[in-house]
Amino acid sequence: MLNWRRYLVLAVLYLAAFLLQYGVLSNLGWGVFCPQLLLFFPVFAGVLRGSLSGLAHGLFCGLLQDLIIGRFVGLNFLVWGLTGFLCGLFTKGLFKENYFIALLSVFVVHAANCLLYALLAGILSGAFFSMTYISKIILGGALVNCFLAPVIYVPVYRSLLYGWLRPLTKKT
Amino acid sequence: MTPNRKKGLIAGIVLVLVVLVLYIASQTSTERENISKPEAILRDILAPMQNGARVIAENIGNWGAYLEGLDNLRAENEELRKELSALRLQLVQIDEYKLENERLNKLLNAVDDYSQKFDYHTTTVISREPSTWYKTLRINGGSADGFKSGMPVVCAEGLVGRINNTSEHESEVLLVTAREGAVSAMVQNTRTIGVVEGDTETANLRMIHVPYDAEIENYQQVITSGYGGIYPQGLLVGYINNIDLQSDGLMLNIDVRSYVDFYHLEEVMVLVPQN
Repeated sequence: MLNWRRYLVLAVLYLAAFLLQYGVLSNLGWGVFCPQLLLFFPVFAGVLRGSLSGLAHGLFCGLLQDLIIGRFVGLNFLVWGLTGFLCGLFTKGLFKENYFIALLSVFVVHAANCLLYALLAGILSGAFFSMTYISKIILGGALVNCFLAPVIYVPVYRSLLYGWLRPLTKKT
Repeated sequence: MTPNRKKGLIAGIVLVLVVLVLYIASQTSTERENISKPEAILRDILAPMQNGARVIAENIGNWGAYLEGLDNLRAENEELRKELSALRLQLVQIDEYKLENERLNKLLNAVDDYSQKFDYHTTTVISREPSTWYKTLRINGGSADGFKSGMPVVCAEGLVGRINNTSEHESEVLLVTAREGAVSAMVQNTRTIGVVEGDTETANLRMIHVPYDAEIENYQQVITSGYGGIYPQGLLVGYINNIDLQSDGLMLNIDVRSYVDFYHLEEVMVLVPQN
């Protein structure tokens, strides 16, 4: 029962984040300063639930983005999956109560996603994005996502421990 | 199976999957006329939701303005701006007709075989730039409405871009400011031909392939030349903001500014050729 509720909450969160991202935020004309709400799923899953969870959420969010963007289909799937996995791997054993970890993870994962995506897209198409443009996307996104990271991390962390996102524990 | 063999097997499967995904990505790197079924289904499912979210966002904005007592002023201002834009567009078209008339008078027997007739289909923008990497818009209306890849998209202020691909009820528009959205254009007064493309450094437009001795000046209008095969002649692209000589001294680097506010577009028109 508990896990069903958890999946339902996750599905609602995904839908809300997706609609907010592509229905509202991307229409406000903020350009590179538009927050990437889907980024928080693989990052926080990696930090709080480990590398495999980070990988699963990364792959799902990446695929969702690929299908929406319609260019280089599979690239975000690959890049987000990898960075979600690595995020879980590198934050293993760290204190999850430290909100600075969440903030730093969001920054690093966002930057790594952008660099990897730009590099692979450049290699595959033969037309590379300019470094100025990549830097703008990284810095603009990092600024707004890092600002949002602690605000979102706190309720997610609490919900994972005591609330609706708490996974089902097997009885021994 | 030993743990090492198992690890090797997993690594092998992952490697094959990565290569497969990279292959798919490389196949979808260029502009595609037809999108895959899963993409089309996802877009069509999400289009009404995105539409709803957009309406809510707009309403929230309107309530804020109402509370501040600025709603009426805003509407009036909006109306006047639209009127101004329409008049500006008409002025450009009148200039264009005047010049065309002069040329045709000179040519006498020449037949205008490239001028196409279009139906203007007005539609709404449902989402902007799903990714910061690419300059695109999503508009209401797709293949079910007769929209096809390559159709020009304009607004009252000028050229917006062209349809990149369509699903049944939604279309993706590649903006003229995108690096892949180059347009064959010319300076209206002097008929100097060049190519207008998106400048990724500044997010503006620039006109290239214009020789150093071209007699052009700032604030002259730039329109589509009709040579690219996608856009008809005479669509307003923008105006010349700055002219520089390139480092090789042979070509000009022209900064072009569009009249279109790409970040706040709400309604656009798709030019559907008349059959």
